[in-house]
Amino acid sequence: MKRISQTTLAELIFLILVLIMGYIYIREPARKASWEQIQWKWRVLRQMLSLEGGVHWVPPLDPKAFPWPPLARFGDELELIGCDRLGGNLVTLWRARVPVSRDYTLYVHFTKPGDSRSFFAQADHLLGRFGEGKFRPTTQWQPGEIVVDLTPLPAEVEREPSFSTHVGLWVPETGFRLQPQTEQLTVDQYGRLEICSSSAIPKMLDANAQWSLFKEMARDPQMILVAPFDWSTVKLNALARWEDRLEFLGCDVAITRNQKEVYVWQVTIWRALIPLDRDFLINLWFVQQSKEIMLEHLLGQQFLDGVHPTHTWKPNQIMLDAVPVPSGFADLSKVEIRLRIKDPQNERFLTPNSELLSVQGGWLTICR
Amino acid sequence: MKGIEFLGFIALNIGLILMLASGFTKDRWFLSDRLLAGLVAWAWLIVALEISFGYLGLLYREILLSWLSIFGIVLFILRYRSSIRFLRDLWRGAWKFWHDLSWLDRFPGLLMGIGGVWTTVLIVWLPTLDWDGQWYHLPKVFSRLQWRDLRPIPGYWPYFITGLMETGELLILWLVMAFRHAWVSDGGSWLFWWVGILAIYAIGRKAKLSSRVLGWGALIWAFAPVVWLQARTAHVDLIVAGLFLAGLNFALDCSGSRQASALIAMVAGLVGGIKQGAMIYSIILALLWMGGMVAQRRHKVIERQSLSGMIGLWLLFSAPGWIQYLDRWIRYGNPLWPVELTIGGRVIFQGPLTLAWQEGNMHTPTLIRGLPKWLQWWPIWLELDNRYFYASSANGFGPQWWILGLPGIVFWLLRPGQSQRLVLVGVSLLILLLSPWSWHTRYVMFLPAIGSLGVAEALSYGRLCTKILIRVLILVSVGYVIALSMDSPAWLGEIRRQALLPPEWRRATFVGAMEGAFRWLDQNARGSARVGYGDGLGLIGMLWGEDLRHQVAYVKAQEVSPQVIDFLVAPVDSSQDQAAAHHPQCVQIVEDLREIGSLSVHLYRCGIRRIR
Repeated sequence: MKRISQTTLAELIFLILVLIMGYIYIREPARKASWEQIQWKWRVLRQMLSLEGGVHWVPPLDPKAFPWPPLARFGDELELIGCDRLGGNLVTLWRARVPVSRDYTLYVHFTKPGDSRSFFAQADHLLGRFGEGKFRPTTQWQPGEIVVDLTPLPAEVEREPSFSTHVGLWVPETGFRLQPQTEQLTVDQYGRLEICSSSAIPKMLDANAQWSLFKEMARDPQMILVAPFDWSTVKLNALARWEDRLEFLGCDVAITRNQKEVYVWQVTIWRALIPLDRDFLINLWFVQQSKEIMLEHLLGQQFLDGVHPTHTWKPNQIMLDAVPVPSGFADLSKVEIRLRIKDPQNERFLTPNSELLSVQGGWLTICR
Repeated sequence: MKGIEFLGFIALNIGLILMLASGFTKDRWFLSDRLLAGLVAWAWLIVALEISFGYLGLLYREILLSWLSIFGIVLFILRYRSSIRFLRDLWRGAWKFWHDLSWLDRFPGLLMGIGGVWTTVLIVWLPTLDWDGQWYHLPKVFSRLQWRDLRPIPGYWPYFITGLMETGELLILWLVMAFRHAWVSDGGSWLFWWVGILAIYAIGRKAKLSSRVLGWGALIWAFAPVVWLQARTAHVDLIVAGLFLAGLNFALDCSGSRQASALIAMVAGLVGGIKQGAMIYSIILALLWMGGMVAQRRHKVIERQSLSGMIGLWLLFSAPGWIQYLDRWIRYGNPLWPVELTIGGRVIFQGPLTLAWQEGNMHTPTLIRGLPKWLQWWPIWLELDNRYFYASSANGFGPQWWILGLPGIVFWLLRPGQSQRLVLVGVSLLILLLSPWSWHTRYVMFLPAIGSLGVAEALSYGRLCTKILIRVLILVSVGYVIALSMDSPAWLGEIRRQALLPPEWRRATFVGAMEGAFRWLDQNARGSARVGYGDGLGLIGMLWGEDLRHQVAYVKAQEVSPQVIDFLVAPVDSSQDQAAAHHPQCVQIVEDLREIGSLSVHLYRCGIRRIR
């Protein structure tokens, strides 16, 4: 009898504790953010599993426009570097300065002249929205990376002939608003940043090649699984040089996929030293044990769209050439790749000068 | 690794585990105890052989595989009857276990199966994405593979790369060595997730809990976020936790037998050899063993003679641990090097890693700074941060620990019955109080397992409505953890991208330099190029390449020359950077300044000879 009562007492205490602990756990503000995260993941998962209209994976944008000065800084982690209105969206460009510690939420308030309210329309979402139900939250951003956020303009905003846009960031778990630091933009009495209102802010997005790529990707069902790195963001020195005209800077890889197949592209990195008056050809020789293949094409072939032949190259501009790796040579670690450059006017091969790579009979041995 | 080689590797390991398990023949032991014994003995065997061959400079894949194969064959010849009998018993036992469960009680098993398979998928699909893994765990593993011995690894991070014990890395090495590729390097902890689950089951059986409730209880531990997420990283905390739980299980065996003693010694040696901070777990196991022996002697079960024999046995089987401490004692005059040991303000062993140094580098959440130790646990357990992460300092045990685990322990303590629960709760409290950063969930990862047992007890002895409530809450909590952390440390889009890539092109790209300078190196350094790195460079695990073809070493400024290295990756303005900039035969190839600090790097090519 005594044992039963002790167990009953233990059970009673257990149940009371479960209820109290459960209540304390649920009422924590962080739970709301958890629920938002779960909803977001569910939407992404559903979209990924749905094959309607092909697979649309949008790669992280490369930090092509890294030198852009920030328009405003939020804490030590994030910078606002641009804004635009495109179609029915407010587009904001952000850059992470360091690994971001939490998933921030963006709020956008729309105000109009003569309106006493602090806003007449607003939008609020996890920063890093790049489409309907598609998010890349700030903790996923890499330092230096430029990320686009799309905020659909509310219907009442689109009807307004004149309005101002104010943005800010807040921490969903605590409700804490980040105070923007800026010299270029205006911060109002509520700590909101007024954006897209000054003619001094150029239409940066159209100038941004990566934004073009972003738009391109949305149209093209071809997925880029690994894009060539934007090598203009680092300083590269030459591995080989052809007179004072052309430099070879190294190898890279691009991998694309359509609905059926994966394509590995051998990418080579180049720089013209002077304006080139002709379109050079490149020979790539793939050698693997007993088999070999030699490919010839116009230098400057792109991995998705056409060719940028050498006469179009600007001096000191980093240029790429891409060629699909021939079938049978997929394991590039076992393949020796050689290259040479051909002058189309006299059909002669240019003599490379390199102290860093092996040169034999005009052929350079390259890559890994 | 080709298909047939892969199957051979799996068969060899499973065969060894089963044959070793069949050797533990104590009558009172459940099958789960014996299987657990097999797993522990297998891990011990791998580490013991690696250490032995390492000191002989013979740490070759072929030698290790040959020895283990021969050992397996000999074991099979000598013990084939008992091995087959054990296999038969195991099969029957597993079938009976499953058959006796109701459909509802099979659900935890299914959930753990799905969790384990999903973890395997992520290990296969994703490259190693964790910081500490790329920073120092994997460099240790790859260096052993490169040099085939146990020499102290020179490095800019001597505290971590040279100093920390490396049993965990040796277990990862076995996988990497077998597969000869880095893709599997984040799979070293996975098996110990199962070891932990099995240990909870085995301890529960000793506490007279039924199989029907132990599966539900085990979910509390298995899906604690920090536990589940570490099963897919190259960290070693889960190995500590899984092995410690196995050790506790054997320590609760009150027979004082040689087999139990040998197993506790093995666990103590393995756990203590993982890192200096895990010494406390070894000491606790040793104390439990001693306590058990004293109790047995009091009952005159064990004679004085056999006690001394057992101490010898203990020393032998814990050797993989203490030998590493001895090594450091001889080399540096401090067995714990680089950790400084201070007792009562008096420095016993000097070392660069003082408590104050570590405190300063621990990133203690603001919320708990300055609080007394026992008050630091609660905000972390309540999880004031909602993002789960393999090394999160602000959460880690999930809602199941807070809502069910803690009340479960209270229930367990209030119920009348055995002394084992007092031992387990006492041990947990002792570790919580003695461990320097016990608020950090990954350092006390075993803890939710105690909650597992408490919840299993409540499920056994509670009323129907309590049982229903507990099951519902477990399912909701585990569902919550899975939903929030299934894609960690990547995100769903990245997992899909990596999965669509051919395996040889899967790369980690979580910091800028991985896409710039490290990528250039990966694509342009031919064959087994000698890659040196300079002061302060982090994430050096990447320098070996996914196919581990490069030879990587830390170089001092005076060593920067084509005779020593083909490539140098050096943080800007480091002494190596300056030496290479002035060396006539080193040419700067890449300047990657997109990151701040030590990942702002220069990459040099030294020498003009062709590399092959």
